[in-house]
Amino acid sequence: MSSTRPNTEFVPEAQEVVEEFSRRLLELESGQRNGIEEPEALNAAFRAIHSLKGLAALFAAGPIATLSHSLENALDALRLGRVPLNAATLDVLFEAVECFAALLVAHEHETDGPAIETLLGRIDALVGRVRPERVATELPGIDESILSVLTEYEEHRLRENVRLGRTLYRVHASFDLLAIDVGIEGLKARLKEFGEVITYLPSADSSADDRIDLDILLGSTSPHAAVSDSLAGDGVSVHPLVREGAPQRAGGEHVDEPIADVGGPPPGDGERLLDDPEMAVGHDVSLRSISRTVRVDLARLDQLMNLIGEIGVAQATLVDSVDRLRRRGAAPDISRELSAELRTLSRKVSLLQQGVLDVRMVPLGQVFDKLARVVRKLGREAGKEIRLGISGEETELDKLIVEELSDPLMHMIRNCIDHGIESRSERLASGKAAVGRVELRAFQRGSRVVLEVEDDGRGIDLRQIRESALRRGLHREEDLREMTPQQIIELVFMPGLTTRSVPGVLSGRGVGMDVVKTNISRLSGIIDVNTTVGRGTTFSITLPVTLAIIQALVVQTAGQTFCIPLNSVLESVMVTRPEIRTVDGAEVITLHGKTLPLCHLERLFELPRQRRSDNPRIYVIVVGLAQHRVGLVVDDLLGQQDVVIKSIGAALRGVPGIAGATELGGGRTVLLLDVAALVEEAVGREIGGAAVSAAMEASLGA
Amino acid sequence: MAREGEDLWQSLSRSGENLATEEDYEHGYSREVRQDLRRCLTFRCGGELYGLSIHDLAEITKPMNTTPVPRTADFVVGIGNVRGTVIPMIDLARRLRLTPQRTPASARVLIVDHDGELYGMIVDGVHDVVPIPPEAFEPPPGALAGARAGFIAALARHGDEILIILDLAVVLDARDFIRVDVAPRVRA
Repeated sequence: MSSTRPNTEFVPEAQEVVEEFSRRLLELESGQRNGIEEPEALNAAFRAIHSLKGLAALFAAGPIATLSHSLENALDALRLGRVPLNAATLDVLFEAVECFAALLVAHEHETDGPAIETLLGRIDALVGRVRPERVATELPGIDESILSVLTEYEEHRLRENVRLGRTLYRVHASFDLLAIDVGIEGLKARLKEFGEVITYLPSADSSADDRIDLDILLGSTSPHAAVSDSLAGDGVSVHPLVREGAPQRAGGEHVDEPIADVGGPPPGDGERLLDDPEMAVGHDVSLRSISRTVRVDLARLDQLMNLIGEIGVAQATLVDSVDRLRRRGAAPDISRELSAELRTLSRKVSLLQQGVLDVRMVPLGQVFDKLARVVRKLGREAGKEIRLGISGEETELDKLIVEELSDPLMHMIRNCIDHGIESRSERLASGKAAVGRVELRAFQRGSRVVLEVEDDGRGIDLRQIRESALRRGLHREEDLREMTPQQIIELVFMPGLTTRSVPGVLSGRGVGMDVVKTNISRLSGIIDVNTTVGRGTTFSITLPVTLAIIQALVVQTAGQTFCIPLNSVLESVMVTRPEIRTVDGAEVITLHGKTLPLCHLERLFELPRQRRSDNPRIYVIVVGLAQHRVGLVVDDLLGQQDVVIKSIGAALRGVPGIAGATELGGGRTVLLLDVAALVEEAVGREIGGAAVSAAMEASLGA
Repeated sequence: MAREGEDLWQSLSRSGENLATEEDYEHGYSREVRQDLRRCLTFRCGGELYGLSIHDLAEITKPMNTTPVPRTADFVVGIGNVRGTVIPMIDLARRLRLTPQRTPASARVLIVDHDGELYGMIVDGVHDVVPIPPEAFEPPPGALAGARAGFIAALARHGDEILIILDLAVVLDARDFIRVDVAPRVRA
């Protein structure tokens, strides 16, 4: 046991670091493509690998430590400008990301990971490839005393700034000792607008004991007046380091004073407060974790969630008891007090519930970063240049959903790249941009999150699907002929069908869209396709924000209570019996001018009718997924409630139409309906008899 | 484990552990200590005596409210709620295709842990926990071709009684829980 415990901490933490590294690489790559240097991203990548090295050494993960050590050297060389950052270099770095991922998996399962020797060789070759002629840029007008305290990295950045023709400024800042963190952060943010901070130097000429003075070297393209106007004031002053037009030794006296005394105060004290890249990698800092977060096992949160659910149940029972007490008129003042307190309790419980739910929420960015790597890799493999657009990465979803989403999303992206996006020549021939475009979007819509994967490829050809379905014997020709275009497109979610539309190669890799659909439905999500031949395809997934707690409609039929997830309910209406018509033997009603097929829950579930119901009114709950709408008939609506979904055990998980169970007040356990399955059943059962489908066609046509 | 009206000595001997007796103190420990005894809970169902290894048992409760689940086999009583965990409940007599009887007042629910999942089995009453040595187990006689032969893993002799040891993997086979005519359809 004792040996597995550290690993459970190591692997997730290391994974996080590798993800951070990969994110930085993507930033670097996009910067490099646009010709912008990203020294910050490079530093962050370096820092990530440095902490990974420390972690790996701590947990005796040999190959990971070796690889990160060698990578750290390479990144350091990149940082210092000794090695150029180009596509080839980035390739090697991205390869390291993949390799780390494989090594971590191997480490977790205590198996042998991939051999890293080749990769190590390539990384070391990078470092070996030192820039041939590295002409030391002249540093006119900068005092040797400054240069002497700069680290190699800072000097490199200084030279780069000079080489890029930026003006150098010395920003002098004085902060109150107590407010220095806030002050520096604020200043840093403002400085960034003007250019690059090369270094922070502690200044000795402190005006008072309770103040700390700093000199900051800033490289900027803005003129002195602009920088000074924006930054100066409140203890901050801006001086040009090199007076324009007088490069030789000008401005020296300004700089001399702080520098001259640098040896005086212990430099560590001042610098430790700073976010100096050089410091952050120092040995004394590496063990301190940077983030103020705690890793929590999801199972523990589930436990909490269950507890809250039980508190909720207890509370509902209490409310009930107090109600009875009141009706009896016993001790009215006490029961009033009780109800007031109960209301407070219920507010607090729901806040607590929301709090725990919020803890489970993670931004989708985690998955998107992984997908960006997939796009890069697959694009390379397929020989297609693809630009990935990402938006809404800050959208949050339950951790469990995010985890379950990564595989389906990867399948979809792979499909876009393999089948959707055309080859370069094909694209040019059809008048499209040479570079293919894949968009990954996420946004919140009400209580759901919508995820879209869009490509500007060739689209899905309905004829191809029809042929493929026919060839695979999934449908008869006459059935296919009667299907609407939307129904045909949805055949891509059938096992064995591919979206590949190149004639004759339909037998290619059928990247299981059926698996995608299954996974999405398991998350109570809905997947839709929209496609235009020649223009592209959009897959959109609609998901509930959270799985653990849902709003449910409580209904009763044949004396039994059921819950229906509110997010699959479109509306509920009361109808009188005369309004029900029959079309080809199936009951329908007309709602908003459209025909809605009905199905009785008690008949679907074959519930024993306890008493003959002559109630002239029935309740119809309109449930629907995509274009399939069905009216579920029940005896009574009991209300709405937040419920915690519980599993009903492995043995009953497969009961069609039942999604789980939940507790209502008074110790009642009720079943939660799986609306998607019921609708599918109601629609499927009648196809052939064609009653419901006819009604549906009618409603579609309307 | 001690029951009412039973002293520590009785409950310890019932637990099957070896105890030092007066004799042992006088003559030293001479008896062989058996480590291989299997402790079984004995219970009644449909007039017959059954045994269940206590390793499979999570707890014993009185019958509780259950919620029927549509589309399940007749022996599935429904779902019950054991301190917040929802578990399937079965009527063991129906499951074993014994003649259904009215649930007696002595009825109990055995909550068993099978493959990490909890199940409730309603039985007519529970008796005792008894230690059974391995040699007292015997395979079910081949001639026993009753309707429930498949459910029986072994027979165990305890004194002059025969305990039927059930094969939980068969009794709790998930494939039997859902009614055949509503098994998940493959869409075509």
